[in-house]
Amino acid sequence: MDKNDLKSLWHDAHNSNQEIIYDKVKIEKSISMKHCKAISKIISDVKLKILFSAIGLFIYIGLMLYAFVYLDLVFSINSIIPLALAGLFLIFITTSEIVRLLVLTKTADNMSVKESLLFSRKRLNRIRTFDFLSYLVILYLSAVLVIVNYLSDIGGVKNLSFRNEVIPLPFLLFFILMLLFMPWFIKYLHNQRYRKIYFELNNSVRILNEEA
Amino acid sequence: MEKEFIKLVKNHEGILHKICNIYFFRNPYKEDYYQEILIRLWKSFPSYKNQSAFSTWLYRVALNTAIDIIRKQNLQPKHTELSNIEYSIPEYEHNIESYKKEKLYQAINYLSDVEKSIIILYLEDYSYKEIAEIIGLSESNTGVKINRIKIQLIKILKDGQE
Repeated sequence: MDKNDLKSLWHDAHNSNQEIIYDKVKIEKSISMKHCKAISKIISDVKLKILFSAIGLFIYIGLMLYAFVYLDLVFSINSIIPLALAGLFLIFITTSEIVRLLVLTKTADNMSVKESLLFSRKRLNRIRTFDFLSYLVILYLSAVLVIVNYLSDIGGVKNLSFRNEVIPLPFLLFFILMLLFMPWFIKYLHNQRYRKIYFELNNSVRILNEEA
Repeated sequence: MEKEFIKLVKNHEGILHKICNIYFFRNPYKEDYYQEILIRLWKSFPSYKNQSAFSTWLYRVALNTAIDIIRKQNLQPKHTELSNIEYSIPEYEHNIESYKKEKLYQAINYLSDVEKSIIILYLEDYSYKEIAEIIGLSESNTGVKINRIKIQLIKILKDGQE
């Protein structure tokens, strides 16, 4: 087959009017919609996650206001830190899902294909960095909290027992190390999750960037 | 504006069909994604300012949308039941044109998303200049890429697969 045969093959293949399969899709009806069914389903799944995490966040804020403002409770700093971490985690979860929604809804359709690909890669990189940094802050703060609690032996943490056995120091060190390594583990999981998208994006960008 | 848009799109429906057939080859949601492309075209229409031919603009938006849909599928993977489309055996024994088309589409399906967009434009008789504008490449680079893709495509067609 010659290189120029491809065009004739393409035109021959499209000469007959067999492509009327989209007659069911009415342009007038379509443009009144926000998204097609399949994409709407993906977006509504993310919106549902946002709703749940936002509800959790509001309940948390409500409880905090009730405790600190209405009841005027005073907690020690070691009690406040875990509460603050829980709040931080809820904020992170909500924000993370909102960012994901933005990725799903923001588009760069009017740009050239190459610009649009670069735009998408930039957005994905931003999400990954945001997720990584958030986990890094939350888990490192948790590790610091555990260390501070242990060193100052607050609540008799040094003698905490598990099935009547005193928790050994190596176990605690392992737990702290786990917290410190966790952001990289999550980064690895994210890489696995986005691997296909990144592969496609990087491959497309590489093809377009290759010099003639 | 709506009437003008519908009229313009109706005149170029063939392009959209071809893009859907290439990007969503044997995909059970093909019709749905065709609808999504129409929606995105309508949303982008206000930014179309007659700077380029309508078909050039339409191609750019439709190709970006098709590639974006595939990316979204990958971002939120989900398990779906196979539809009749996957189970069915293509009926092209009595139709040589359908058979050729199926083989060509199968071959194009081996290409990457961006290679698909370049080859569709080439096969649709767009000039190198127009292809370069839609894809975002230089004209000379576009020519080189088209040649490489053509060689790749012919190899796939000859060998059955790459």
